Amino acid sequence: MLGGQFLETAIWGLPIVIYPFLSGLMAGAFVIDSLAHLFGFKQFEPVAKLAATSSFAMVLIAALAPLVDSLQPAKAPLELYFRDHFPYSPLSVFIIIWTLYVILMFFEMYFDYRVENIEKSKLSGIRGSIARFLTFGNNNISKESLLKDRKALFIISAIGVPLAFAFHGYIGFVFGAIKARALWTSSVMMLMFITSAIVSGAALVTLLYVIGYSYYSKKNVVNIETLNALGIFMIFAIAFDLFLDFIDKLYSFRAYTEADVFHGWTLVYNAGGVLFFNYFVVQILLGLIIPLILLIFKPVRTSKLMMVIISIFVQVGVFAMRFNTVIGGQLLPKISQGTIIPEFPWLGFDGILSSIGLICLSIVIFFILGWLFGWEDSNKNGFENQTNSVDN
Amino acid sequence: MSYRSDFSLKEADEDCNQELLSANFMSWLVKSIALGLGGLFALSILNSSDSADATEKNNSNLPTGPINNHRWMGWENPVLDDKDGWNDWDKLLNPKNLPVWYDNFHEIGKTKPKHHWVMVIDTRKCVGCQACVIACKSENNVPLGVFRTVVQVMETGSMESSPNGMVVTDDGNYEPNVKKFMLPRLCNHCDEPPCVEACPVKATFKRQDGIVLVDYEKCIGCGTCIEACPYNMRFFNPVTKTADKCTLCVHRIDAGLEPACVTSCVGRARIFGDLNDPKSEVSRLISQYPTARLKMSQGTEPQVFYIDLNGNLEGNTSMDKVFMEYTYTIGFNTTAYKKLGGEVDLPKIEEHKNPFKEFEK
Repeated sequence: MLGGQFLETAIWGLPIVIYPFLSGLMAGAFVIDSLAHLFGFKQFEPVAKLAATSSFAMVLIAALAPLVDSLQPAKAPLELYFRDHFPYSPLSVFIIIWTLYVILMFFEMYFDYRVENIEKSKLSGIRGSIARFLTFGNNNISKESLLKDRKALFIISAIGVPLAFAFHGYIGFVFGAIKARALWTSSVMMLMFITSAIVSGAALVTLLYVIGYSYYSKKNVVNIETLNALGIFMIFAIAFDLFLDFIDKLYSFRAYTEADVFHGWTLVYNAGGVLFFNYFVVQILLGLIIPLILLIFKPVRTSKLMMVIISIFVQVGVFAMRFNTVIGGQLLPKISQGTIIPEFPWLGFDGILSSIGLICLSIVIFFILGWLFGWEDSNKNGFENQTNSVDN
Repeated sequence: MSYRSDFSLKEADEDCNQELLSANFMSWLVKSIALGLGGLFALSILNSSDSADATEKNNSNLPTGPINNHRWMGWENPVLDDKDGWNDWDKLLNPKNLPVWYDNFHEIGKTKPKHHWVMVIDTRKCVGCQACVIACKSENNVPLGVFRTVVQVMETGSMESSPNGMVVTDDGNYEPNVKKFMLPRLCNHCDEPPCVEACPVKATFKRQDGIVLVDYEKCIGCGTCIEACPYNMRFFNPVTKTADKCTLCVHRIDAGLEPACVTSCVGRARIFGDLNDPKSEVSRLISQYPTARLKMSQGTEPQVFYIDLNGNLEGNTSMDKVFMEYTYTIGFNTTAYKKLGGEVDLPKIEEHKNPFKEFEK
């Protein structure tokens, strides 16, 4: 990328596509987690811990992605914390929200897995000593302490949901605040990012739930009721996302917007544009409309295979949305003519391999956190047993 | 009774063991953190002694210049430190220690600045010789492939079909009703620069006399300012790996000289001066001639004024109204360039480790 910029280049490369993608997964997974803890939907309780672990794994890598794309990654964390341009720069507010969110997730993980860690601390060897450290000396498993945990998780979720929305909404603002890029300066940008985050988070939790509980769990099985509830939740999220995409398209008409935005849509997204296939076929049709039509039928929502396929479709669609937004917005030139031809090298800091590596790293960190804390629900019969034991 | 007390004792023992273990772990953690901090401190001391040595060497009577100080040229060792001279902008590039702003630029006017540097570009006099581009590159040592200032060559108007037209094609004869137009572009040193406000680490700033600068030591290379510039006049410097832009030749201005592009302009199309001085040439030109500025709709208050600017070039260069002629300074990686039939291989930029090796001996 630095090899010959020749006036106009897509400065933000593939790692910046990964950045909103992973943080969207993180925010969406936290919303699923909060549905169980905050809003008391008992159907979501079997996936609450899975959602919390995946959310924590994604948030750690989400901040690494822009660091990969920056040219001075060694300097960046120190400068961002000690010379923060708060609150004028969108990225400077983001680093504060990220830090708060990581601290919050530590508490969430502690209260989520406290009982499991107390059980594991009886083991010998390094596994036991790590679990002993993670209990922080609190070995109380009485009913009162369990109720206290629930209360703490309720409070954490009450703080965490607005924070997760702020986290991902602010990434939308990082793009929306750049007035020089006509295709980014959109008032619905922030809302679109949040909605697509919820869609992708629900899809991620569904995918991990079906695969994990079917093949890798010794004590749990997939609860069809939970799968159905996830499907119904996805219907509403996808419908709202489609509505926002429709509004965004409506804003691009010549009558309602300035010339730059209109020309940008003509050159990039509309028929004959560079990203026509990526936008209308992959993002809208494959990622939103086909899953929505399929999810309306109950046999589909209760089928494990179909839910996995739908989740993969949605993930591909949301990744296409991030690509179309980040790269597509940069294809409209500021002072040249035509559209920019973006370059995606295989090697290099903003290459394809480093982007694949970022996604793989998030999966690796998910496994590490799953080993450290745990990822599945502790009870064999899903949510019923747990609620009974706490209530009685 | 006795059995029960034994049991509780045992339990207490186990609890003690666990507490001991966690205490051990905590002490190990504290020790490792202390070791790490100590190491950092030692490293910083070592580094500071290194740089002190370097200054002593620089202060000795060795001849200066590119051969003995490659770092000055930015090729051999792109590591930047404040002993480098060029980046010690508080002392060398800002001798009067003018105050700087990172946001709230409307407060600059309240401080009653002594100067307000602007540039007036008389497009009637520009011949498109690109001398300013070359002068800028050699003055500021701008690496290959990037430009701080460019002169875009364009054509406005249209080819009209007429029976006796000069241009003969298979479809008929055409009469060109066109005008050639050169548009020198550089950083506009806006009064409300969005690039400065978007920087997350306050690495770029606006000086009291109106010049927008980048501190290369603090820049983290995130690219936000490059995206935020509506004029696309910022770029990544491939050598320093930071954002870079036109400095309005701040080192020359502080020394009482004009910028290099102004000095080298053959037609005196570029005029540089102080807008606060009513008798300066720029003030008189702006008061006498109607001037236009680029992309005023962005609200950035650009400080480069154009005389006789074609209205079609003020905003984005629409392909319906303007035909760009692709010189070497204009984007090769656009579809418009490919459509023109331009299939030029991009020049490969080879970074020599020591480009002055043949001169050394």
